[in-house]
Amino acid sequence: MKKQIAAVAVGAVLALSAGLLTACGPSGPDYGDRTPVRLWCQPFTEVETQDWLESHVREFNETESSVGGGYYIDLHWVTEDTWDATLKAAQGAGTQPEITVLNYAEVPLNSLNGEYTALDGYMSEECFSDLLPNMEEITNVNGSHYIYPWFVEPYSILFYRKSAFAAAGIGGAPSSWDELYQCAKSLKEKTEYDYGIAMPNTAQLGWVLWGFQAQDETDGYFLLSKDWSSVNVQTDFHRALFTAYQNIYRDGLTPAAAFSSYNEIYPLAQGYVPMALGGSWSIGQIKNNYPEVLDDIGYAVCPTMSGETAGKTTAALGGWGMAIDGHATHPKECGEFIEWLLGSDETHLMEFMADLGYSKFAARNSVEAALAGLPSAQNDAFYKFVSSEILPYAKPEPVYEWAVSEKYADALIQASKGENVDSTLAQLQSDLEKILKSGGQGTYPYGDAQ
Amino acid sequence: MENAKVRSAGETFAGRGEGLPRKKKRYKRGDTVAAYLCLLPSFVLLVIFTITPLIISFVLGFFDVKEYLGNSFVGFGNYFSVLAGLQSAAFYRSLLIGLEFIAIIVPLQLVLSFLIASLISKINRRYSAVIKVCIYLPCLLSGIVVGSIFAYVYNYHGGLLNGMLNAFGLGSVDWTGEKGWAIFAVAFAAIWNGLGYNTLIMLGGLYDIPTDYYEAARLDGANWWEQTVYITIPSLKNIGLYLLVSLVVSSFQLYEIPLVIVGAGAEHSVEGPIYYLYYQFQYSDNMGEVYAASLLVAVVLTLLSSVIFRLTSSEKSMD
Amino acid sequence: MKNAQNITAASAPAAKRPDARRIILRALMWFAGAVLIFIGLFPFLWVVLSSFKPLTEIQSIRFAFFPKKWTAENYAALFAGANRYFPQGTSFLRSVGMTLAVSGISLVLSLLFNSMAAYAFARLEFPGKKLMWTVYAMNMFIPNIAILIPCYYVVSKMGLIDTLPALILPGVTYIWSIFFYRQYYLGIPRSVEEAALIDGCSRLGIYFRIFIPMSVTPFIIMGLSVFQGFWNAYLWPSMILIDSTELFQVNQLLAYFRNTQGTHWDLLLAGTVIACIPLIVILVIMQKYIMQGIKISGIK
Repeated sequence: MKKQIAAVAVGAVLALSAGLLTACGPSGPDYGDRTPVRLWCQPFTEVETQDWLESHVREFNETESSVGGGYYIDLHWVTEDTWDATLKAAQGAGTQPEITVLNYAEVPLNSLNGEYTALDGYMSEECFSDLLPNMEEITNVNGSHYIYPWFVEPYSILFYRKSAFAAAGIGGAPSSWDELYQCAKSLKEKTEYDYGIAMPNTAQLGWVLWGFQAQDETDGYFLLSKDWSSVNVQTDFHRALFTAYQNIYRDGLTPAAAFSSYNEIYPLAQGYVPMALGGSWSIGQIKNNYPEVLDDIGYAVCPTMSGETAGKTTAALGGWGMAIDGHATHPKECGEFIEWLLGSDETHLMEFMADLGYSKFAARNSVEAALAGLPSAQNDAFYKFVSSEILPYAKPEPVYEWAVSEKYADALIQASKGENVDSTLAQLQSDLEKILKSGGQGTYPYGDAQ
Repeated sequence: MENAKVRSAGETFAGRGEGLPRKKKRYKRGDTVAAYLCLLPSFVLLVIFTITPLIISFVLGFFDVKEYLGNSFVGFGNYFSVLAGLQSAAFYRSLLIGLEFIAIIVPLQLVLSFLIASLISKINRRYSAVIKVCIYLPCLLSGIVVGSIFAYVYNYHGGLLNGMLNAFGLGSVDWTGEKGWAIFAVAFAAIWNGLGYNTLIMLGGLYDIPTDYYEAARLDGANWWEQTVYITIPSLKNIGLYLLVSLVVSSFQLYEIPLVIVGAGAEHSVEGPIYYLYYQFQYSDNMGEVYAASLLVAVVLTLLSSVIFRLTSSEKSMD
Repeated sequence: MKNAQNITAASAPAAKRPDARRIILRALMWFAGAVLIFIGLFPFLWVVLSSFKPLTEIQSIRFAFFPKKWTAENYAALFAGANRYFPQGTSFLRSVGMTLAVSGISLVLSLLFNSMAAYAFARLEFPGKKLMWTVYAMNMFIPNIAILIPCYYVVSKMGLIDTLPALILPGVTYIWSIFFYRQYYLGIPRSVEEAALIDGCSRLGIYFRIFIPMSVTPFIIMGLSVFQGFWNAYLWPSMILIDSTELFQVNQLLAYFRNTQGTHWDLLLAGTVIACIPLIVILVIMQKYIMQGIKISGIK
């Protein structure tokens, strides 16, 4: 046994020295004794996002303001699985980064806890006046901006196979929930597909349907009243939405258990369903992994309750941006970098949109305007469709705590399994009232909220 | 002279009950020094990396933890919130589910691993080596990977299990989405994941039973069943206790597998205590509450285990 | 040397005459063994085979055991192109070496320190024993999450963030293995060490000369699971290794294939298979010692 232990020990030492030796391979550029300003970002599925950020950070570190200012941006990638734990631990020990890339919807409530430094003092006024109106609404908390948007991704968008629509003799995309049901029904009955549509039905429903909830024209804020003082779910609107969902499940128009996560569009691309809900990122997945079916993919705005879609909110606006930590020691430098990267020169973001195949969108008027003159953007039908028909009317995600949205998902799942709609909504009403009464706040779906 | 010495030494040993302190205990200096030397390295690491953090989280359990605004003392507020406040329903539900996992997994694991270990110990060497390696393979995979594999096995569409059902002309079952099935689906995956490890431990225990016990029994005409009941099982007491406690704790703490394979509609029927804690960890804006809840989970586990220790009165060695 | 294996009547000389009942029993055991091999191997094999499928086939909802189109591209990408997915300064191969080193060192320390503690608890009498055991045992029941962030705090105050010791030391004292060795040592008859004690061997000497050699079986069983615990670790390494990319652990790196909007299953499966190979090699080498263990510790 001693021999074995010795062998293991020798092996370990050998492996370690081998590891350390190879460690002397290529690493990042050397910035001498300039001060590092740390930036943390989650890796995104489209690796082009990483490439773009890394190359621009390198570029910034060669600029006058970085060299002359004696600092450089020190970029690190922290995986989604471990992001929460790592950030919370680092905040506790004071080793957190000065700039973080965040889903902007979690910023308003967290900013109340002092987690971020207001950007206004460190970035110029023009950066903020350039924001799309619907982004201004969410980045501005009590008069200060705490996050600067990088890109937005509207969802849900209705995707379908043109060939299936043709085979079923369907002329155009459904515009009301009733039509959606009829459309799914005839797709199931008149084509070879086993199902008519892929619908999300997991806890993801909590955020997937924000775009639907935002269509409720009664005066409120998603599921709550405008001032979050009461619950707003026992309405005709939600009754109709629940019933539509229930009918689609009852008649087997959608699989009882979803084929895939809502984030993934492959059930449509692989031909398991003729129609699916997705986000703007879905087109990126199709372009990358299933280019051969791209021509057969049609898209349209999501149907509404009334059937009127022009100029109406049909989607929620997911998105990411950069925030400066509340305890940052170099807020001025952070501001300089964010303004350089995201807030001034449009070409940075235009390159980004192009790299990502126009599946992500800018949240600035000037970038939108510049893209309007760019042939590659103008020739991209999907980009034109989203930026004209969806983006201007999309509504930012709700910023109240995740528990509220999660209860909604629970209730809708029950309804889709056949529970009575009215009693489910009554139960939801009382569950949400309990949450409101407890005065809880600030719990967000991290990472899920894409 | 010599014999007397041996006998007295032997008696001294035999007279020493493990962990049951006598009224007047006399310690040998050499033993004491040796014991402390043996404990030193593990104890130092334990204090630095486990006990200190534990004290920190115990203290923070009494605070509303806000990293940026400063912590404010809330007394038992966090504990109240978990035990009787908004969190209580979810917390108790998670404990109950933990108990359900114990009830399903522990007996099955113990019986299966014992049977398999007996089987392995009785067949020829080369074949048993292959079996050992094969049933240990699943243990090499992390919970996330096991979850992913079983997500496919249980998949409603074209999953292995439904494929088999369909072959017999039966309809598909939503294994992970129906409340009644989901907990068994998770438990089965967990058993698959842990069986090899438990079997190996059983096997180690089996091999260490002196053969003359069996020889004596056979001379007395004992059959396999009698040998198992009167020799094998009592001899496995120490190892069995380890297995029992570790299985109870690990089943209660099941987290990664349900996280990956749970389907729509059954979310709340497979969320055990650790699942609950991770959820709170992710979404709560007061870590103090998470610390309070996790210490409460620790208390429940300690109680459970002390019941087991009491029932099996394990402390005695068996020489 | 007789051992539990020989109990089987089939191998006893008396059983030379074919006996229908015995043959059936034998066949049944072989059959049961085959079922076990199948259950253990099948999902695992399926993972291995899937790692040779292109992404579109992995995403297919129709269950297929064998790839329709075999491809080694996933593996090729893992060693070459996947650097795009990983943070700068990391490489998959190096992370494998680094994880091997970390797990190996941790394993040796873990076996030594924990079995020493177990020996003290199982065999020695000393003041404060009961209290000490309570302190140790208490830690068996603390959920990891309770100490995760405070432990990071301690490590960072010690200046160990982004260092090798921070990867190794916090996991070395493992109460479950102390408990396991203790239970094992309790089962060893006291007569074993009596002679040595009479010969004037010290208590520590007995541990090193008698107990360690007798611990082959528990060391291998526990060692496998300890090694594997370090090998599969990814939450803790991800938290404490941010800047020092050269120390990145293999499962920490594989997590870069799982993102908000989806998982690169093709690369992840290939990576998972590679990450299992060292464990399988160790398992195959070590399994025979579980048998040998009895040759030393089987006491007549």
